[in-house]
Amino acid sequence: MIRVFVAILSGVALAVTLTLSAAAHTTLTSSVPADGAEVAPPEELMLEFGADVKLARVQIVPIGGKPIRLKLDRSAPASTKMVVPVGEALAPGAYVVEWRAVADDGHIMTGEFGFSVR
Amino acid sequence: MSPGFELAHLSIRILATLGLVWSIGSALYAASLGGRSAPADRTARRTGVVALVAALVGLSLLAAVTLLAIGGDWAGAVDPYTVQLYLETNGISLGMRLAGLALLGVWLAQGSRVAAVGAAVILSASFAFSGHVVSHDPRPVLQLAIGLHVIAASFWLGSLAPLAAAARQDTPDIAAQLMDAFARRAATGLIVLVLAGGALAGLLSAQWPWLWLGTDWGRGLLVKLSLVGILIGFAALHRFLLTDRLRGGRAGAGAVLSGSILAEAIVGIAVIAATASFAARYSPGGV
Repeated sequence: MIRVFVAILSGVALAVTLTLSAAAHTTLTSSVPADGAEVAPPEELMLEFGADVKLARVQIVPIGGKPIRLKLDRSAPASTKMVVPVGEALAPGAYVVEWRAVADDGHIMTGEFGFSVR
Repeated sequence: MSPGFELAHLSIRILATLGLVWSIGSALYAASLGGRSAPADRTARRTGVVALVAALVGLSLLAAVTLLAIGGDWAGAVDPYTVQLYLETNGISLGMRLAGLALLGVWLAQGSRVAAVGAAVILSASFAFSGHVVSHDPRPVLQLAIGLHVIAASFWLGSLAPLAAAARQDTPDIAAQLMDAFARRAATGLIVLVLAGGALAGLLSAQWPWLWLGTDWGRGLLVKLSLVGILIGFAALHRFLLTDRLRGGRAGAGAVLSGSILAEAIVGIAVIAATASFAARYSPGGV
């Protein structure tokens, strides 16, 4: 019985290992502000994806500061281009935008990009 | 998502898929081949119970980790908007799976073949309402193809444990007759499996097979196909050599056939794990 169990686990591990590598589903193709850009305080963020998605969560994290959770339009249909109001004036400094999105087929994507406010 | 979380998510998805496939397969075995061998029937029911529990545990954990993945943390996981996003993409298939598993419970409790068939059909159809088939065209063709693909694969894999039990515990005549009856149905099932699988792969990837090497999804599919090739090799060995030895009364033939069928089942588990893995991680278009 133990040998059967070990064999089953080995089969599963082999199959999973063989199918694991780097790339995955659709992801962020561009953003405004762009990754690494230095900009005036943005009033909104624009995120563009390779396929239709719904944003699940977006937050702006000041380096060394407290995350600012952005308010999403919960009734917005799935789209490749999503605009999210920032809601407050960002002070000069560096920020990271952390996002989560769900595609039409249920796949969940996460990512981040950074920008600086001058 | 951290690699550890992704691995946990993937492991739970594999558990749920294995539970569903073996739930369907056990029910289909009972409906189409039940009544021929008492040890096989008992094994089908035991497998059905284990599969039902695995499916329920797997689906519950999968719902929890998917909500956590969408929401980002526990507070986000229970946010009504997160639940809405989850149900929009998984609600129909989850509802069908719970209904199908309830029918499976009726089969296990009362032995009703109608419940067994109903459970198998609903659970197979549930695969048509989530994943890549709902985001690609032609959607109705893809949905039909995946339903048929799942039902054919599940019948094959779900029959293996009962067949192994018959080979080991029943008389050689009964076990050989059961193997023959399975082989006749499995031949039809294999045609359905290949045609439906070919339609899925071709329509989802919109590529010729030799181009599959260029995408992660395609490479994952090729790994799966390689494992399926091993499965077919096992099936041919059982059909054309080991069943004849069993029928001929060769000493130890039942134990050899039983062991070989269990090895085939382990490869079958690897096929399901590979499918759940590459389908969850990669997009057919390679985007």
